Amino acid sequence: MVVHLDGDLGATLHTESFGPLWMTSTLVTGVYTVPNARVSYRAVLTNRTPVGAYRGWGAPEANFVNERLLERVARELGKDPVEVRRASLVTPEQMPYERLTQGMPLHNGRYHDLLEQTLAEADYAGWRERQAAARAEGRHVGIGMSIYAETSGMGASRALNWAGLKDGTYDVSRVRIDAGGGVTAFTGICEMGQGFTSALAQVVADGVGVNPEHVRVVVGDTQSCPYTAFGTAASRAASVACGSATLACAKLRAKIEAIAAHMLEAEPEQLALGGGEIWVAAEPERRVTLEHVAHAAYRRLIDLPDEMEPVLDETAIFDPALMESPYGVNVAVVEVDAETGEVAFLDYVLVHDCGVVLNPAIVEGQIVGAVAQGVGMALCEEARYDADARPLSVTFEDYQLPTADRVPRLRLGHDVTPSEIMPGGVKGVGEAGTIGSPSAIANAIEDALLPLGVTVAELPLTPARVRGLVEGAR
Amino acid sequence: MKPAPFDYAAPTTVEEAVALLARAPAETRVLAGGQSLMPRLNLRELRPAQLVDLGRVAGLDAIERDGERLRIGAMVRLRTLGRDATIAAALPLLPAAVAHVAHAAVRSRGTLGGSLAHADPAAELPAAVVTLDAVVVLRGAEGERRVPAAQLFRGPFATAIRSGELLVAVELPIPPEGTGAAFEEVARIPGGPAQAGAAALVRLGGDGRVAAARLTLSAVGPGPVAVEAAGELVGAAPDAERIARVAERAGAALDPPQDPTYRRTLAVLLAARALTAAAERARRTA
Repeated sequence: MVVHLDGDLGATLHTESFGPLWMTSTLVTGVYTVPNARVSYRAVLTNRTPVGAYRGWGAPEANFVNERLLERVARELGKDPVEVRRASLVTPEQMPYERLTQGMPLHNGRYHDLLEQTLAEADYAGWRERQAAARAEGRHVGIGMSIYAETSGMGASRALNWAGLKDGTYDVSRVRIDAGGGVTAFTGICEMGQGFTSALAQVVADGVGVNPEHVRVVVGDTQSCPYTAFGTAASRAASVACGSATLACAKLRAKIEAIAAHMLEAEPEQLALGGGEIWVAAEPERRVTLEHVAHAAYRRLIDLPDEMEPVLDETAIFDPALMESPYGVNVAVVEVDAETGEVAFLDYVLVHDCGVVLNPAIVEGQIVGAVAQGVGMALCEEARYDADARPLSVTFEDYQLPTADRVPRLRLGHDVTPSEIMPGGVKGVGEAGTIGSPSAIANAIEDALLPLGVTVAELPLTPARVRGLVEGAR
Repeated sequence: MKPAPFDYAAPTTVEEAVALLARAPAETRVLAGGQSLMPRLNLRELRPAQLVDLGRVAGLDAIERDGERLRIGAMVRLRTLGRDATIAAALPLLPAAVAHVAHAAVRSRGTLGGSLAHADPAAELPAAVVTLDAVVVLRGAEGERRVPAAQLFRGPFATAIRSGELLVAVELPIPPEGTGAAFEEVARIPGGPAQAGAAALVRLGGDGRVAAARLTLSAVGPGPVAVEAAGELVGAAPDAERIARVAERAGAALDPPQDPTYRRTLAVLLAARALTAAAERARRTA
């Protein structure tokens, strides 16, 4: 595989313009066995508006290259695209599978299993039959697929420092149980509306044995919250930040159990926690409340085990050894109006594995929103310029966002392979939906127009561009 | 953004409104729903000294049948135009066109007169009224005059309405039995501005041959483009081949200001679809 990338970065060179281009170059072999690859890239400064990073940080571009290539290979060989993917996917036995950049291997993935699960959930074989029937009626129905691995849970501070990153990518959480038994978590991650505070509250609640509504989460206060160098980005809040909270809670839990065991005249390993109470698992009537334990920890030290320090307040730092690699399979089914170039979705299935799911509603929201963004990349969003680099997309009339009626009704499926790196088994999901959706949609559109001999090489596939492809092929 | 300061007048009669317009015609804009005007004010593309709001003027929202004509007041909302039973029965092209106009919220505020006076080349109603051979009623200080819709549109956002004149109503001849209507449009997003549109009216005689045919295209020229070639359908059955020939001729005469290749392709396609659908509806009503 030989790849050359040219990146128009606009007028300035900075991390968020050059970084995604570099990222594309490292991910361009995707989730496939590529024994030989040569990739070169060139950053070009122009008098256009400086570009910034976009959700996926270079990964959607890389996915577009390798998924489009596979599709072309399948066509050249006269094989079903699924067959070519089955033959090329990295297997669990090959993992960890190093790619073009050392230190970001594919690992802990069961790609073949997820592919088969997706084909079943999407009714791939059924869609191929319906496609044949539609073609017989002169309709242009296409099925497109893409498989992605996200690079999440950033991650591995020293390795990234060596790679040139000027930040620490560990995370810090502080969890405090006050003298009244109230639980407060302090984090350096900021809530951006993705629901992080809810997920953190759940993790802390599980960690210290209370209900989530009992946990207060403090964010965005530089005086009381731990300093985290990297912040909210790179699908790391649920994996790395909640991971550090899990570790802090483990320390607290050990202390709570020691105090409760002392009070109940039991051994810590005999205890169970939940709903703000601690009890002897075999004799549930022998129980104390967390409030009672906290009172001892702050005010009535004679109830503590001998020599134990007072106070329930723990901080933990987590710096993952590797970044995580959640993955998923997109299947898009479209119908193209070859006369107008308009594209309508008949189905969209995404089955993914982001490890342990902390909050299903948040994960679903992340995926649905990201696929909508992918629809924008695939079909309509475009920053256009004239020959003198004057921007032409300056209002939302010129820059078309995908509206609700253009976004498919997503059918979402899950598999869970817990992370072996992140405490709690969480991998992260923030960018998953944007990575594979543009290429799956592009593949579907090309598949729909295959009888006309159309080849897709450019996004977005606006109606005018699709119509141009049809006319060009005739 | 917010608009630059302006004086606001809310007259309650047509006479009062015309008098306000006459006072400073060049610096006055008429507010008739505000769905196009207000965004332009907010972007400060327009800075009128005075707005005359027609929202409280009595009698401008009437729908009256007068023999073989329907007279529709300038302030009839697009929502009403799309749902009124009298209009749907007499002039089905109007609700067909309204179905493509923006979103429900815009249709609830926007008006027929406002859309015509605004004269957006991509708008649906100018094409519809040209197809329906409507006459626009204008009222000025010197009295009333009638202008055929085909002569109203003078270019992008330009009309034959003189300064100081108010568009008060539209008079539309009701097509005879056996007439079918259709409006076809393509926009990049549903409710977004059209990339091309086609309004068609086809009347079939008792023998199944075309007795009359009219076709107007939108969003592909400086204003609604009336297609003379539609007349060539008259005297024969409206078969696909004839319709395709008319549509091709319609496209060949176009010079769309944006995306010319794609919009011409769309115009040909939509012209054929609209004529076909109109003929089919005519066949069903005949």
